[in-house]
Amino acid sequence: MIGDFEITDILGFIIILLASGYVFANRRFVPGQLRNPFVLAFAAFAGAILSANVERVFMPALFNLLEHALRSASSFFMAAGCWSLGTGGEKGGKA
Amino acid sequence: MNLTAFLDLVGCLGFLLAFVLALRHRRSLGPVPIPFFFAIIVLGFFSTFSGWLIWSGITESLAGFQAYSYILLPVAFFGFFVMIVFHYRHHAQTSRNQVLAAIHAVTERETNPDDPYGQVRDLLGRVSTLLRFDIAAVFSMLREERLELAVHWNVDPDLALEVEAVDSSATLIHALRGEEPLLVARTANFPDPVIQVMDQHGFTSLAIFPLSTRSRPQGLLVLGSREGYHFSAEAVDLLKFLARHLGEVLLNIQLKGDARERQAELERAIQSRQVFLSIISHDLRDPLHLIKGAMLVIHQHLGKSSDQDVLRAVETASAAARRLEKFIGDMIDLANLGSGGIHLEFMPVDAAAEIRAVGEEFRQDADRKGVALRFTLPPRLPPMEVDKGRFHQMIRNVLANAIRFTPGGGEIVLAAETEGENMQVRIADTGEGIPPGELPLIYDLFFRGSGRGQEGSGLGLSIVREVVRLHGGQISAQSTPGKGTVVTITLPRVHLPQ
Repeated sequence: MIGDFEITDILGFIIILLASGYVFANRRFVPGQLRNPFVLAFAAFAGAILSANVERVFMPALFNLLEHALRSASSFFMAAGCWSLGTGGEKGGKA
Repeated sequence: MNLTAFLDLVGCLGFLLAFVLALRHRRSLGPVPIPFFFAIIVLGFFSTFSGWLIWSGITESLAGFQAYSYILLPVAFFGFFVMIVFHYRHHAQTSRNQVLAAIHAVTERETNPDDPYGQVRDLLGRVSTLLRFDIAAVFSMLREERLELAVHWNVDPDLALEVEAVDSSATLIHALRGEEPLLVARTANFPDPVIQVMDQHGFTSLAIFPLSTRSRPQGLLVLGSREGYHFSAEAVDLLKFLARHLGEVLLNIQLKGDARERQAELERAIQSRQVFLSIISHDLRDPLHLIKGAMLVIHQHLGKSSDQDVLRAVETASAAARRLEKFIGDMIDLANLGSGGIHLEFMPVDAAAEIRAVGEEFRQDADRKGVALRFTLPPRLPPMEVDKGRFHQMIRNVLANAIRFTPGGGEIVLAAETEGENMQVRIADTGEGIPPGELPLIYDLFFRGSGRGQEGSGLGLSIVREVVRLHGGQISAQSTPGKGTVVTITLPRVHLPQ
């Protein structure tokens, strides 16, 4: 514990921030099929960690719920990403 | 069950679904690091599952795992993206340089007329290998929206036939008319007949780029992969660049092909004209010889005792036959010169002596007309290499024109001088001159100037120009209407075989 915070949550949050910066800086090298849904899953999971941090000091019931909702949402973004690998029609222009 | 536990349960189902789909489409992952990918899903699942166990009150013992999953999962995500970025950035940089080098190499190469698409095929092969595609093809769109395979690399003939047999592909036509590429990461169940044919031949990913130049669609570049292909922005940019370049290359090939075709048509037309002239001329000349011979016999037979009117008529007919014979002779000459059927015999000659000899042939005609004929020839001119007969013909034709168009009291001067490696022959008259508008036309076949009382055949100067050309020389004319004309023939003194 650091104050009211769990060390794991803080570390996770720092890693998420670093990873976000890295993905953003190199986004043009990440293929579209992987970038769009998986970055959303990544963002949702980051939100879950942030909520887990916030819930320890502020509106615990709400942020706890948000944490679980975002973690759950990240699973569906992952599933959507895998689905897009299968159906895979990414169109560069208007279809 | 409380709401939090319910959300976790839904999350577990989501991760399970992701796992099943990832397993099913693992071939489409291509170079994506699969261990990291499955680690994310598995960690996500257990993180959510442990949350569900805790919040539904089944067990508290997994709280530690859940806490660590909040570090492990971001690490897995991070690793996943680092691997992707590393792979694609490294690959993109090396392939970009190599693709640009390949395009540059192809641009520098001259198109082979026997295989105009050879360089495009090489380029397709090199780019496909670099970017890890299995096939590449350039389609041109025919009428009625059918596709024709213009050039391809590594495409099976059966596949080519099947694609060309497709009546209409809405997807490809749309891509052809658009500006953006169509990237098909998975061909299965794609609602288009051409893409279905590709799918049946085992191609799971396709990239389709329009080739257009100056806003006009030229065709399509299609690249196919037998494994799932992930289109990074870098790869797409590179292929767009290639497509733009290919559009220009194809247009150039097409224009060069058209030009070659037109050139061949022109050559065929010229050859037909020569054959026509040659046949017609020979067919005319033979009966004309008979007429001329018969006229001579009649003339001799009638003698002086005959009726003067009959005698004059026979002389007129004989003169007409001679003119016609000269005209036909000129036509045959011109036909032979144009078709390359003339072989020149170059030999050293004394230009001054030859010019004087030809000039003297016209002395009688000039005297009869009251035209003074003068020569301005240096005493010692170096010898020059010409075909003697053709050299005479040049002088004769120009001089005949000068005498024809110079009125009585006028003057004709024949001059020659050396100028460096060349010899210049000038024939100047004080005739009626040529209007400026007609000057560029005087060498044209059958051209006869306006306002001349004595008409020629219109072939003389055409023949002179051809003969001068065969000698590697030039002819030019300056004229002032009412004052006269100067025709200058410049010939190299030494003949250099071409």
